[in-house]
Amino acid sequence: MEALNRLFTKSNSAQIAKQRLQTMLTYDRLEIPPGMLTLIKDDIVAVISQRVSVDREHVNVNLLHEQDSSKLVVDIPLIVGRGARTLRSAGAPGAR
Amino acid sequence: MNEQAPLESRVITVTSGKGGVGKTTLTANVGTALAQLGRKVVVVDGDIGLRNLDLVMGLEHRIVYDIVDYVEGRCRLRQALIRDKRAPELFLLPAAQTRDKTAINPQQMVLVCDELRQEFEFILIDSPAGIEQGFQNALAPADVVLVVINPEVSSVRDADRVIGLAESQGKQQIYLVINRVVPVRVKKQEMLSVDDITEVLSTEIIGIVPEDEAILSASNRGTPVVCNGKGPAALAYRDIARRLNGEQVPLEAPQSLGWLQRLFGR
Amino acid sequence: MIAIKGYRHGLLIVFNGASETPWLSHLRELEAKLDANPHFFRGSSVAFDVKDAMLNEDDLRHAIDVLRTREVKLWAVFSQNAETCAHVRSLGLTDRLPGVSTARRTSEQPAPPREAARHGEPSSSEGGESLFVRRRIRSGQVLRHPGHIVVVGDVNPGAQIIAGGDIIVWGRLNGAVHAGALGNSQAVVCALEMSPTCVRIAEAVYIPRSVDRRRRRKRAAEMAMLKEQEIIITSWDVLAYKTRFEGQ
Repeated sequence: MEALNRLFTKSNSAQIAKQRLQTMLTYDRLEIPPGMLTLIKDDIVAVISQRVSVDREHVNVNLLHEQDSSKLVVDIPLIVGRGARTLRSAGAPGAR
Repeated sequence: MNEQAPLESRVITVTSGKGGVGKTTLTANVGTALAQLGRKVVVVDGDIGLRNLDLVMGLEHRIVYDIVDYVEGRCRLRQALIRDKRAPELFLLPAAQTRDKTAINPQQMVLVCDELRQEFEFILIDSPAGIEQGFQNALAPADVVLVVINPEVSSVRDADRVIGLAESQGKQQIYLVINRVVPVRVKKQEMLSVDDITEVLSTEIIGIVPEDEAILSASNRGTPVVCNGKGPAALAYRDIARRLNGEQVPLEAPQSLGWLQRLFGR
Repeated sequence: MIAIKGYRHGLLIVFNGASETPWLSHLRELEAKLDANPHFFRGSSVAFDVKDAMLNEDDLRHAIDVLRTREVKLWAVFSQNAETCAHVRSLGLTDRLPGVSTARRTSEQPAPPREAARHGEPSSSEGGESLFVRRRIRSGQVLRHPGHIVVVGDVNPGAQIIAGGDIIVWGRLNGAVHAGALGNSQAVVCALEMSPTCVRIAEAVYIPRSVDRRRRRKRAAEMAMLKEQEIIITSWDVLAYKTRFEGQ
């Protein structure tokens, strides 16, 4: 989530506000606290790490909000021998 | 001799009666400024159901637990506190977003503050607008009450009510902050002057904060103005922090501004 | 038989000879008093002193209804009779004067009414004597007393002073006042700066226009009184005040 903020530091502040607002409203509608994503990310990493090696630093868990649905989009790079393959999942559509 | 002296802590409730006068911005900025002065500070969002303080401070994305979770036993206090890395010892205790003001009662608020007093020197509570339960919750634990007004009639009338309620609850340290002053409009007599306000409220003024366009973009970014330090509002907020911290700071802007002279006249 | 008194927590209605007369006739008398002076009572919280009368829950509920239809709230009943006290408590009212530390109050007994904006000012138990208050009366606060009320301090817009007797404001009067609110048309209102939002004396009402209020500011002390059923405001010669009440 912080990465997203850093991306926008050079824009004017209204754009930043709009971005933050959209994110906040998504969380409000879903009734989950925003900080929960970090906890979910840790949980997922912990579980997956039991089976395969995970590139923890580059794991990304994001909330994607489309018209009628919300999704958790999870990006988990694996460490498999040389080079990494990515496990991608669009699970857990949000209740509306 | 390894005993730590008990922390001298003060609970400062920021209230106004009328909404939209700048309580939350003031709480965020004065809290941050106090932390910049080296104090251990926690800012508490008293607006359950309509939380705002987290947004103004730019900490919204880190909320996991809130004050209601703590009061209802779902987490420890430490888990609900969010550390603001922009100052040495600055924390936020967020409000719940999905409950309403009846989720907490004044006695519970007092207990929460008693816990916070163990760790923090300044506990700033951002009160919600109005005079119902949310306000009563925020008022109950207060040692100091800051009443924020805009220099216009309905704001002053509401403040009078709030001051009366605070006095009737035995609060003796009540101070006034005049927020969003536009010097030119005072000169044109469109805005009330300090004399007008004092005549009705007769309450000691602890700060006068001019309207400053930097406030809007600061709020957009989630970075309180005192973080970057520039502009008349940032200066005024820092002065309020210094006064709360025990310093004698005269209520006057530098001569070059000149607007305060007009402010003090009729 | 019914006396209306003011004490540190507001209005107290004393039922003298309570045990000799049926409760119903006491209530009739109370109704008559309330209806004769509705503005004095409306919005107030009152306590009863029923002396040694024996009242059951129905009696108390009847009284509560009589009061409620006139927008008056009963918050306490003081009695010398233990059974009456028990009935009072079972209805959620208090039967005892509150202790010193209200912070430690148990939630079972109601706290004294907040509308008693007296901050615990001592006042004689005799309804005819004065309430003396030495502070600013703020918006939303109401001072209500069956005798005279003297305020040393300003009365802010949004504040209300309601007295059975005279009202003297040794300061700026910017709020609403009602003197002679129990039917005394001889009552007066005096202030060092007379700029009220509304003046009532007995049944008469005067609402000044805002331009009049602005003109009144910074004038010398003034007095409002009833002259031929109209409220007039004249200059108040403070030293002559004493004579005014002795001579006339």
